[in-house]
Amino acid sequence: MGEISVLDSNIEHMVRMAILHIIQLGTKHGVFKVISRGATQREVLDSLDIPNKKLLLEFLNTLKAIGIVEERDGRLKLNGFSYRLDVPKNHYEALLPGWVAVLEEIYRMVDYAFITPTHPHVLMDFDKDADFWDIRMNTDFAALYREVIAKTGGIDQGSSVLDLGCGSVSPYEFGKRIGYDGLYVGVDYSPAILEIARARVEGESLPVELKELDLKLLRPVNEYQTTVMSFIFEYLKPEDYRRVLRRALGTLRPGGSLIILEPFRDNFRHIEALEFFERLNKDFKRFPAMSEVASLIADEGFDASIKRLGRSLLKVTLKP
Amino acid sequence: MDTMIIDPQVLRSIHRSELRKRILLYLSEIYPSATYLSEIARIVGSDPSNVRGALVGLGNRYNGESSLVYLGLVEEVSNNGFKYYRLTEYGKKVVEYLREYYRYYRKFM
Ligand SMILES: C[S@@+](CC[C@H](N)C(=O)[O-])C[C@H]1O[C@@H](n2cnc3c(N)ncnc32)[C@H](O)[C@@H]1O
Repeated sequence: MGEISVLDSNIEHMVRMAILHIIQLGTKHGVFKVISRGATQREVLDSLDIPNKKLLLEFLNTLKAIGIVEERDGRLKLNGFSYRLDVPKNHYEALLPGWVAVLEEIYRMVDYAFITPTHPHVLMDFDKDADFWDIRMNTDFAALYREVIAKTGGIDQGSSVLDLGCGSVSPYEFGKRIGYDGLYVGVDYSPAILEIARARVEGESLPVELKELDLKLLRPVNEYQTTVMSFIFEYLKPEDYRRVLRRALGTLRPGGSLIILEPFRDNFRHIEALEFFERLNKDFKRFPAMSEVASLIADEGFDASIKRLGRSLLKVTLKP
Repeated sequence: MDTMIIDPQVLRSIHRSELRKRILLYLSEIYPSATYLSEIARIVGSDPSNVRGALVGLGNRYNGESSLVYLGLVEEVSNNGFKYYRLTEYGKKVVEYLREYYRYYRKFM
């Protein structure tokens, strides 16, 4: 199996496992029990002993989006949802254990978030919990997607790369790959994440520059051969996509390419299950659709080719 | 390696406790060798009963649950009636993370 399809099947499995955990949460917190009595949404919210009503409401919306629950005549109903979690031989060999351990931690955080969103066991804030994020970006799964990004974007010895929302691990990993005669510029708005990134890079004399900046304020400079946006669109409001894409493409020199990696919502059914967990991070918005990103780029009138690679990767290349 | 989960709460609590941190750093310096409790106490400049507390827990200062042996970071080895302490593989990984997060914890915690 090629690396891109391994990436896709891991994301697919993340979504499938997330559904299972949604069902587990609904059972554990008595949500299904109340719903099975034919309650209204209001009644479900009021009768359950869950202090964080906002999260509970999000949970109900997730159940509806996945199709576990539907609203008819003002009442919520369980609609006999069933889905399969396949363990086919060829896929299973490709599954990476690292993300499972991390997502398991996140499933557990929901119980505490149901009490209060600021509970100390909820570790999803980029600044306050940069350590957890760093651990998350250090898994075998992250190593795989970085490999895929590097190969797709031609990131190698001597490359010049701009990484938007770089996190704390990519600067070191890509920096090593690029070597001393290249340039890697990482942009991130979290000072805590950048502090960890710096600690990794320092003393290694890598060609890495790190800038604390909201990527929405980026200046187009026409300098880079490759610009990377990996797991970033999910933190942007859809109304900002156009502006951000225009600026991101504006950072490239002719012939350069923009690599976008996301679990695109139009390619992964029931992605709302995974979104429920990711939303424990207050900056998370939603996963973008591949079609919406691709058509915005086409709209902007850049002379560029757009390649859809598998289900989670877009490569946009400017005319040389 | 990737299935050995590193718990940020454990990292943070060790970062906040000077003695446990110093013990780990010393054991990582001599890794993979083991050493006696009294030797550790001498090096980290603390008295043996505190060091015992940090390693295996006693009294209320270091209850067993946050002790380094209980957390799987240090192992106790008995040999000829003597007890030695050695950093585990897992403990080694935790020390690496503590080093990488040192400045972040100083500034943001
Ligand atoms: C899920 S991490 C992904 C990190 C890295 N791109 C990777 O794939 O390993 C998201 C990162 O984007 C950063 N981020 C999110 N929104 C941002 C924005 N508007 N401007 C700059 N950085 C942002 C966060 O601080 C975080 O480090």
